[in-house]
Amino acid sequence: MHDQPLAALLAAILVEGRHWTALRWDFGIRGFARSWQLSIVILIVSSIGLLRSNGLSTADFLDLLAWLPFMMLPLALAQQYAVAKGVPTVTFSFIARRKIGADRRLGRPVVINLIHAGYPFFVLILIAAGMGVGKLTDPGRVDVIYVAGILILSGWAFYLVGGRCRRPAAWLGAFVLAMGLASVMLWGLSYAYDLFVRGGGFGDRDPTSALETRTDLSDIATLQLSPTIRWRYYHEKGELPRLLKLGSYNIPHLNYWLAGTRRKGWAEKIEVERQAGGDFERLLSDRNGEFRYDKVHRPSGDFPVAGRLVGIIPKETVVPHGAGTRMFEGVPADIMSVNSLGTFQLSGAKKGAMEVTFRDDREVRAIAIDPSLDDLIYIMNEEAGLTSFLEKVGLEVPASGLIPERRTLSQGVSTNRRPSAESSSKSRKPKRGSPLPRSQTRIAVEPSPPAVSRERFWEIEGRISRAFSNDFTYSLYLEGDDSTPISKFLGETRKGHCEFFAGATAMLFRRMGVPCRYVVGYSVQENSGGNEWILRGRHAHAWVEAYMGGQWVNEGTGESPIWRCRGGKWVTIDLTPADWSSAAYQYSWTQWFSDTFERLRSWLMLWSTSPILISGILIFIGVAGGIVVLMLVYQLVKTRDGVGKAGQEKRLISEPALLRDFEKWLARRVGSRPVSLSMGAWVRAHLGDGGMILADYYEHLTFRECQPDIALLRDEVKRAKRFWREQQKNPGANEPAGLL
Amino acid sequence: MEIGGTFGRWLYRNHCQLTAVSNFVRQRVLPGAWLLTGGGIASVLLGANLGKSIVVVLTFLMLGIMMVGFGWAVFRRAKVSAIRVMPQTGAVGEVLRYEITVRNEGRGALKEAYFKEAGNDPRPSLWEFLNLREPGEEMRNFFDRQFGYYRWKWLIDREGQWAQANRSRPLALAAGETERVGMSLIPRKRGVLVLEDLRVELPDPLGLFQRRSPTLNERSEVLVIPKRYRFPPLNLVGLSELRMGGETASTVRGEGGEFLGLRDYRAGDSLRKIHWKGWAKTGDPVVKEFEEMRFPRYGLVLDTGLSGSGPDAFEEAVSVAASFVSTMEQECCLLDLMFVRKEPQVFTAGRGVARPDRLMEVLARVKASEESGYESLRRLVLAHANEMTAGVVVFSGWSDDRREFLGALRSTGLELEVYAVGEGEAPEEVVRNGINWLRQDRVQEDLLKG
Repeated sequence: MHDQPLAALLAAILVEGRHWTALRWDFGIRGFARSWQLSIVILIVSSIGLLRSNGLSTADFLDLLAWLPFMMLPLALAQQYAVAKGVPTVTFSFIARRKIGADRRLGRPVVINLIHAGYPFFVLILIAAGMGVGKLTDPGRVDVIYVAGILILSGWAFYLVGGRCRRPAAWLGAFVLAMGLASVMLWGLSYAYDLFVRGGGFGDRDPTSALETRTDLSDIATLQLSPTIRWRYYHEKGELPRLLKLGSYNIPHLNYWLAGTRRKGWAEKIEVERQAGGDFERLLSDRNGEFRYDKVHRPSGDFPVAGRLVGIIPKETVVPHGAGTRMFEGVPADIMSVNSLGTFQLSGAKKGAMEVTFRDDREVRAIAIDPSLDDLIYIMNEEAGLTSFLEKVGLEVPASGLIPERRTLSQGVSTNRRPSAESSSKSRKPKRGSPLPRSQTRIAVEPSPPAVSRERFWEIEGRISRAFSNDFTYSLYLEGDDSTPISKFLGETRKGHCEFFAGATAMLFRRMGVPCRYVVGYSVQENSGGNEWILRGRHAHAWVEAYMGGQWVNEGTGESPIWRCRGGKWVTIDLTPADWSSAAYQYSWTQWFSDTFERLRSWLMLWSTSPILISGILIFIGVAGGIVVLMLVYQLVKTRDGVGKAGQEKRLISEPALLRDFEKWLARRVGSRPVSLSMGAWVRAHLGDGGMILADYYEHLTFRECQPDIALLRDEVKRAKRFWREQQKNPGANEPAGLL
Repeated sequence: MEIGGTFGRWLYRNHCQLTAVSNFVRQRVLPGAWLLTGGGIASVLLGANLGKSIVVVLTFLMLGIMMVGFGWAVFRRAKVSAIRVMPQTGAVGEVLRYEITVRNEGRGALKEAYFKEAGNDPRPSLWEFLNLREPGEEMRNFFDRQFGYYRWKWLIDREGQWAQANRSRPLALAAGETERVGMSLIPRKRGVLVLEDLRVELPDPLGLFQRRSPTLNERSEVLVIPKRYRFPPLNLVGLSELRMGGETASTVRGEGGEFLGLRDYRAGDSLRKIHWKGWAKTGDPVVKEFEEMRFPRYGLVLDTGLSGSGPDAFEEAVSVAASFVSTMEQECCLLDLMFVRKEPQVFTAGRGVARPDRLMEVLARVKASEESGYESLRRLVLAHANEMTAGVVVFSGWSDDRREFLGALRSTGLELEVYAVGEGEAPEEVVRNGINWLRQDRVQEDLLKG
């Protein structure tokens, strides 16, 4: 509605028109009910229309809410143009209207309460106007007009509440104070949201996805590491993996890396048992509906490494895993997929938290496909810096220009990328930096078998590693460059964080003709006790996977050569100085709350979808119900015994109970007491002298003419009963007066 | 199935506590706060997603306003004394207007202060909750009958000393300033209406909450006379002699009244009335003629017994009696009000004896008795029967005791007009005995119907 000013103006004229015209209708309850029903019909029809058009998405739902004041217009107009000053409360309840009708027919007194629907309608307008005009999580998008509007309107409304403002100065002070308080609470909510839910500042960047990861290579700022827990890792079996991979990327850009995955016509066909899904393929499902990558079924226990991950996840996310992960347990096969670079992606998870166990076997061949020419691409602007650095560390750098074909981004990367709806959303667009022009992309060497020997591989790795260890320092302060951040890092600043080291390593290896991929994931370094390891945002790390050995093979035809490096293996290389993780981080006291909240939240989310939930709920209901029943029984017993908190209450409750019991006792023997006969007369009639005191006492109690004595009353009841029994044994001994 | 037993007592306690809490809250939370609460809940439900909408701004604004309003109201203070200027009497169901003189005893000025009477607890007693039935309750569904909510609501609506105590206009009082302000309420029960808890209501500037502080006020009492109905014209022609009356009561019997003139002697005229001078002048016997000063004397017998009836029937019986007294105010007669309250009681009012207001006062204070006392009442009425022109008997219900009592009265030959107030339609025996049966929920209608 906020973007429909003409419609809003028309509606406002209709509603406020009451002040300019003398039109009034005498609606009864039925008339108001019809207006309410008309509003509901409009709401239902609108909802159905939205559903039929394209499904009711969140955005549509917000639109629907934004139009609520229009849908409620019939009721609002009925309120405005009615003779009555308000809408009967029974308007909104069919049952209440039926009840009133029945009451009237039976002659019962009927009280109809009226409410002025104008005020709730006003609040509804304020709420609806707030739909879609911004979001608290992005203060820059908050519509200032909306905020100013609700302040002015609500202030005006409160100024006039009760007819007129009697204390303008006090009103102004109170309203300003309320605004200040609201601001403080909003700030607190933002802070809490940031602390507990999002875990970062307002500028926290979007998370890594399977197709893209961002870097801060060209930024100039101090990197803020988020202390929020992303995952909790429970190591169960085998050697503890120091690095858990999130995703691999092979297409470099200035400030981000893309994943150039399998494309049509390439040698790596998707195997028959697997199911292709865009860039990804569904993994094989085992007998339990979980999935594995092995074609041959292996029992879970045969995997040498196993670890369990718990975390809060969005609907689509990449999942941390070990280098040789072959199997995931605890997640349905139909929502897990893997791309050709070995990145596992979870899509369409319905629950907000996930608990998954991965099983790892590093001795088998990597899940990622063998290198293609994409894995040799480096940024041409960086070529000079890379060459200079490599020569300084004593490596013989191959000549550039030995390129079998000049591959461009459009040819090599994007032709086969068919991003899903989610991947094409705005949030996945790179915000900083931009794709390089095609002329800046170059293949370093012409592939020819053997490409790089194992010995040469380790020599390259060793020289770069030594240089990084000796001459470079780890720093969170970023001094990026808009065009050649790697060269600046290698030649000038010589300090940076893991993205610089990993990015530089990947470029250097590629410049040397070694296929290499940029990898992001988590460093496993914070143990919280036992086998639990905490993976926070600040534990996010970047490293590379380089392909060792093998030889290049042209698996295509002459017109369409497809070069693949076969026979080698992917090796994890992390050349970031080892002291990066030793930087002490002092957690604030709020971090403890944040951690606890995250732990509780993920536990609740998991528990809410666990199979034991129903049984747990049943047990809880049973226990709670039992407690309630016990409390009720206790209350009843307490009430019966007259141990109330106040003496007066005690008297009111205890004595009539004894007398009523006695009445029931006697009624079972002589029949029910006639309605027209008082209790006293009835007792006297049947018990004669034996019930005289009791009857007198009853009358005194009933009319509260004396202070009751419960002991006396009990004695009298006993005496009366005893008298009755004796009378039954010896009829005529104490003949009562009989009924009058 | 009736409400009763342990469950009934448990229900009573719960209703009591809930009503107490509800009243406490309603007296302090104004409609604006309820609107904001509802709006706040709606805004949370509709705009809870912080990543989608900005409605949370509205939510917090509402919350902030409510918090400020609440805090403001809690910290408002007032020290006020008040003196009521009350009328002597009020009537059930009629607006009772009076004035209060309030004085700001505090050091600071007092702004926007309202005054309202408190201390009116509408909660019924346990006996009333267990034994009194809402009209038509038997036709309610099982749940409503078992939990007695509507019975409780009905009782709440009829209980309490007064129905509506309007709050005063807003006052602004400087320190030490005094002001008079009019108040009103509608008494709901006859008897002595006690006002001893005048509260000053101090709302916050936003009009959401208010603090209710006690004032320094003294106890005030007003006699509330019973509700009165329009009584049909009665034709009470009795066999007994008319009784003397006059401006003052005299223990000596004789002729009285104003001198009207002379007329010719008629056989049977008292020799005392002969005007000797006139006879001497005219030669014919003439007698003096005086204004008649004999008035009828009626007896009003009120049944105060509760057996076979209930408090409602008794209250209506008192109202019928009060209506009769009110009607007789216009007549020149003497009226004896007779009833039993521990012992036989008789109050006489009428020309030369006492103002009929006295009977109203008695009727305002009369209470029901758990003892029937019809024998005592019979003796009392019979003792006065010879002096009465006719009698009006008002029963609060019908029973064998009453039938015997009525039979005893009728055996004396006293002309009686009998009314019986009860629930439902008239029993056959009542109709047979020529008694005017008044349904307790339609007394006025049945009275006029005759």
